[in-house]
Order: sequence, then structure tokens, then C-alpha cells
Amino acid sequence: MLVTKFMYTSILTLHILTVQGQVPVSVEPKPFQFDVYPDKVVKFNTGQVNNPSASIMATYNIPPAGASSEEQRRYAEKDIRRYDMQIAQKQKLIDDANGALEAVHIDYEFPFSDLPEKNLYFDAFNYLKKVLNGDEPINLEAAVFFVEHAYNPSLNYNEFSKLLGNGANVIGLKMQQDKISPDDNIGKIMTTFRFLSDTLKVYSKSTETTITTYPKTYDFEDFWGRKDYNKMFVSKLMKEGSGQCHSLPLYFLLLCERINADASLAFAPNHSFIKFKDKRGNWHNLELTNAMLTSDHFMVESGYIKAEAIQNRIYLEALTKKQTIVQCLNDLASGYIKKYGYDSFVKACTELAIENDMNSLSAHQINANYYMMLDSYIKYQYEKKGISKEAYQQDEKAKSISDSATGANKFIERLGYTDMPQDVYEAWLKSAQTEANKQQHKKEVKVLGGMIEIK
Amino acid sequence: MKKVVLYILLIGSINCFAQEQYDLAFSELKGMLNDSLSISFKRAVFVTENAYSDNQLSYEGFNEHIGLLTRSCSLISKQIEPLYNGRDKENVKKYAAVFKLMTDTLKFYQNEKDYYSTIPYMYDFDDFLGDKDWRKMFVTKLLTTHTGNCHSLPFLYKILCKELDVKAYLAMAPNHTYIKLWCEKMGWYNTELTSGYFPIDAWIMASGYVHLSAVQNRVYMDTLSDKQSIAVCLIDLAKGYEKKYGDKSNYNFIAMCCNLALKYYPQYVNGLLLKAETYKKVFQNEMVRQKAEYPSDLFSSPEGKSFFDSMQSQYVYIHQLGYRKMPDEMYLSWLTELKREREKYVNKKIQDLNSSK
Repeated sequence: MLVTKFMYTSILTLHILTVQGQVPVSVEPKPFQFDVYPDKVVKFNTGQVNNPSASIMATYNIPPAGASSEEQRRYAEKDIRRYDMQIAQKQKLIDDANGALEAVHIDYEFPFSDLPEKNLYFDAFNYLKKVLNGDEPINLEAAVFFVEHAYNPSLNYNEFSKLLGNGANVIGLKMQQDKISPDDNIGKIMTTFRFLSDTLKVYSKSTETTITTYPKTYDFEDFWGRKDYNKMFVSKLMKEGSGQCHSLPLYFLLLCERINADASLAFAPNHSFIKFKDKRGNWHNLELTNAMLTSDHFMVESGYIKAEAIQNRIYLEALTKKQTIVQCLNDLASGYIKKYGYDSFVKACTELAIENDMNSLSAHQINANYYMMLDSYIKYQYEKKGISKEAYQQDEKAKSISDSATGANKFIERLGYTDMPQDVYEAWLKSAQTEANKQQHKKEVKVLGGMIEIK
Repeated sequence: MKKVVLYILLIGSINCFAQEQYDLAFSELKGMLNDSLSISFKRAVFVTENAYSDNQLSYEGFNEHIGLLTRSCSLISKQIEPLYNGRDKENVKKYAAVFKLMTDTLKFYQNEKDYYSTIPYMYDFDDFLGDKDWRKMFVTKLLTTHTGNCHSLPFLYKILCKELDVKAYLAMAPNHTYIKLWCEKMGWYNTELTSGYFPIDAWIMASGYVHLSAVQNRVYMDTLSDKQSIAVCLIDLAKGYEKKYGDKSNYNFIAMCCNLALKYYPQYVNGLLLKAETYKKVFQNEMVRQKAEYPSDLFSSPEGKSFFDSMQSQYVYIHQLGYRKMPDEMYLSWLTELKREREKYVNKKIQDLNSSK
């Protein structure tokens, strides 16, 4: 995914860069060095006018004594023209020198265009930063909305919150209807799971109506949001009733937060799902794209989980609440990149993310992409300005950026990440429907069902 | 009566001699662990097997045999040209050479006509856990019979790699040991000598007995350091001792081996199990001695209670680490699954790299 992502963003960003190339970039003023051109400068010295010798008179075009006023005027005009030319020549020299300096000037950072709508991103970043610093309580709902709203300013929080509240309400009513003890975590989780995977009919006393909800299905079209990034969003899922492996687990967690249930996000290659603990301390996996309870074995069957990845806990590990917020930050950066390309904002996001979660795979991936893009941006400048390859190779700053790119990729490899092709991913998701996995699901439902406390 | 006394004395003397071999082996392995001796996996394997064989093995002979194989590997590595162009190509060639020597039939021409050939080392399905004959686990047995198991085959691979000056790492799976190697372009990959394949990690986890926490806690599928590999030999030493002497074993010796090994390799599940089993046997013996019917009968003494509790907590700890007992027949079916499900479990890149000339 890294490679394809890189290729894709590379086209995107280079495109953005050419657009941004027309925006005037302020260049630091460089002092003009006169001593570089001494022979030409001497000519501007107009001393000894009072005692003109013949050669000086020729050089400086001084009219001979006794010249008529008409002649003197012509001489003066000629002199003025000569002076203007000298000034122009001088200016050209300065311009040439500045041009030469500009030609070797390389930007080691991406240009940053200060667009007013980016403020939504800065607000979201500042909010997430406060949460991660502990200055704001963890509120996943707010975090997710901030991220989605930054990308799509047309979203409305009241609507978002209302839709979420409706879902939580149905879950509460369903629990009452099934006489599930309101404090039972497994009961809450299994009911939320049913809300997402089943058709529910509940009666609401307050409105005196029967509410019917339908399963939230998997949206197979553009499930990685490559064409339309809105496909990744919980707001899209709530509106359309279908989502994918990013929005479904996140929606599940938001509902859990509303009804005060305890469940966690977890990752597999290119995938996220839900983990929760039962009363005996055993972990269970909820696969929302297939609406199934799956085994760890199913997760590793994709063939793209290395032992190192499990040891470093980048996959199959329940994220803490804070790590989940870090993931929102990674989502924020990804959306920003989709919209505006790479710049210092992306760097700020990954720095904050890695600071709060050393082994956040997404943060390290974005970081690696950032440096790879920056490296190719510098190479692009060298190429465009026609500077020699040797100069690039001797450029210490460029080298350190290129080293950062290599280092970031090595780090990801050490974490145990391997690239998983899209067709393998699809085949793996479908393999959840094998008879063995279905049996496993039924068994788990039975075991967990037996644990639910009834009033 | 006289005869009986003599008999007992005789057994005692044999025991003393054998115990001395074990003490010597123990102190040599201990020396490697506490840095007073330089670490040599080859030597550690030898002393472990030699102690079981009552000092009847010759280190010179062993070395000679290993030397011969090492020279063959060097020859092979010069002849092969893998489809690999990383900076560590020479290492990869050596890895491939050892693999070829151990799994393939090869001919070495000394001139146009004369050649000698090597045949692959095969998996010995009979008594593969060494229950009937512990020597089935030995590298010396593998060298002489050309058949081995998941213990001796990776051990030999590691020894040969060390002789060729490249690093090979042992890694653990339930009832199983395999080799992990690293190269620049592919990162970590597995080498399975019992079948001659390069399986992906999913195969190892597919046995169904690798609990997720066992991988997280580095009980399984992690590379063993040099000292951890020596700790493995130490547990082999203790196990061999127990197999040899059965009920007559000095349990203090076994416990001593376990404790030292676990100091350097705390999550070594075989070491933890052996220690817990040893405690259990000591406790059971004590029950017999005191004619107790239930464990709780011994709880009247504080030592009895605390001993039982520590034994219990060891078993709980082993479970928490993620260990699940794997039945023998499950193990065999899993081993052969690699062949049946090649498409699914074989690392194609590495397999291609090694099968090309």
C-alpha cells in the first residue's frame, strides 16, 4: 500500500506544487558584492572633471571650451543618455547576480500556502493536541467530527450528534426489550453488534412509535476512499447506512462511548476491527465488514502479519483510548494530504502522533511518505534549475532528508510491516465466509450470549 | 545380601561418574552464559550430547565432520548465483548453500570423471520427540544417520552458518524449532528444514496452538540470542539427564539447570515447563514419602504450602504467557500441512530465490 500510496500522492503533490509555483515565493534578499566586478565598477568613478585631459574628455564626453549652447545641450543630452545606460547596465548586473543566486537556491521545505479554509485543520489539530496533552477529556465523538468536518466543511455537528444519538437510543431500547442488565458490558457490546449487523424493531414509549433499523452494510465500491475520501467517514456511514473497514469500527466505538461500553479499536494489515474483553479476561474480535466474530487465526490467515508486527503490537493489539485519538490525528493528516498535499502541517501531525504513540504504524507511514516526497521535491528543484548531479550529491541538507526517508522506511520494516496487495485483501475479507469461520462465529455468539446478564 | 550391597555400590559409582559428566557439561555451559568462556553453540551442543552419551563422543571427530560439511557449503556457495542483488549477497549465498547441502542431492566433481555426492538430510518421523530414545534429538545422530528432527536439523544449520561466518537464528514454535534469517531486501524470513520450505509466519500460527499473547510475549517466533541458544542447550542437558535417570534423577540438578537457563531466557517455555514438572515431581515424591493422599495434606507445614503455591503459580504463568499444549498428532499434521498447502504458506520470493541456479 505504501508504494501505491506514494505513487498516487506523488502525482497529486507534484500537481499541487506546480500550481503553487505561480504563487510568489519570498526569497531572502542577498547583499550584492561589488568586488566581484571591480573593472566595471571603476568606470562609475567620475573624478577629475575639473581638470580634464584629452582622454578623460573623450571618455566622459565633456564639451570643448567655447562650445555653443546648442552644442553644450547636445553634449548634456548625450551625457544623460550615457548615464541612464550606465544605470541600466548596473541594474542588469544586480539582476544577473540575483538571478544566479536564485538559480542555486533550493527550498528544503515544502511551500506552505496559507488558505483560509485550512483553519478548520488547524482547529482540529489544536483540539487533538489538547486532548493528547490531557488538557481536554477524551471524547472520541468530538475528535472524529473534528477530523471529518475539517475535510468536509459542509458537515453539521448537530446532525452528526443527532444521528449518533438515534443509534444509541435504539441500542438502549433493544437492551430493555431483551431485558439485558443495563450495566452489562458484554450485553451492551452484543446489542451494539446486533444494531450494526441485524434488522432491529423496537418500540419507543416516549414517541409511541416502533423504530426499525437495518444492518449497516459493507460498501465494496472504492472501499479505501481513493476516489472519494468521504467514503472513509462515519458521517457518510450514518447517512447512507453503508461503510467500510475504517468507518464501521469507528462508528461502533462512537456508539460504545455513548452507551458507556468498553471496546477497543485494533488493526490488521490495511484493516481495522473491534476487540473487547469478556468477564474471564479473554479477548474477542468483532469483524464489522462481515458482521462476524472472528478468531486471531483468521486475522493472521491473510498471510501479511509477521511475528515482528505482533511483537511490536502494531497489529491485533487493542488500542488504548489515547492511541485511538492518535489514530484520529493520523486520519486528520491523511485527509489534509488528500486535500492540500504535503507541507509542515503534516510534519506537525506525525510528530505529535509519534510523540504520543511510539509504534503508531500510520504515523510512521505518513512520516516516511513525507520525507520521500520532500526528497523528490528537492530532486525536482535541482532538475528544474539544471544544477549538476554532483552538486546534489554534495548537498548535506538534501542528503539528510534523503537519509530521513530511508530511515523512516527502515523503521516501518522493523515494526514488521509488509505491503499487502488490494486483491489479496479482498480475497482475505471474503474468506471470512468459509464454513470454518462461520462455525467459529456461531460458537462465539453462543459463548458470549451465555455471559450476558439478564435482569 | 553382599551381592545386593555391591550392586547398589556399583550403580552408585556409575551414577557418580555420569553425574560428573553432567556437572562438567553444566559448568561449561554456565561459563558460556556468564562470559567466563567464549560462547560456542557448536561446543554447547556437543557437551550436551556427550554428557548423555557418557563421554563416549569425540569432539575432534565431531569437529572434523562439521569441518567437512562447512567446506562443502563453501564450494556450493561459490557455484550458486541467486537472483538477489542486495549488498549482503555473499551472506545470502551462504544461507542458500547450507540449505542446499541439507535438503538437496548434490554432486561435486573433483575432475572430469570423479565426483562425490551428498544426499539430503531427511526428517525422521519415528519417535520425533525422543520419547523412546532421547538420542533421536541429537545432532551427532543426525550426522551419522542422515535423518533428524525439528531439533537437530535447525541446530546443524545454525552450527554450519556460524562456521561460515554468517548469522542464523533459532526460533521457537509449539513443539518445534526453526531457523530465522535476515537479508537486506526481504527482511526476516523463515527456513523450515524438516520439509525444505520457506514458510511465512502465518503457517507457524496456523498450527492453532500459537496463542496471540505467546507471540506478543516473544515466547514463540522470536529470534534467539547467542546466550538464549545456550540456555536451550542447558534445558536439553537437563531433559536428557531426566530421561537417562528417570526416578533416580537428582531433581536439584534439573532445577539448577532450569533456573540458570531461565535467568538468560525467562520466557523459554520448555524451561518453564520442565521446572514446573520438576517441582510437581518433587512434591509428589514428598506426598508418597509422607503417605499423603491429597496435596492439601502437606499444607500443615508452611514449606509444603508455599512449595505447592509456587508450583501452581508457575503453571498459571506458563498459561498466561500463551502456552497451549499441542498433541503429538496435531504437530505432525501441521508439519505436513506445509507441503499440502504450499500455495498458501510458502514464501514465494524466498523459494524462487533459492531454487534458481
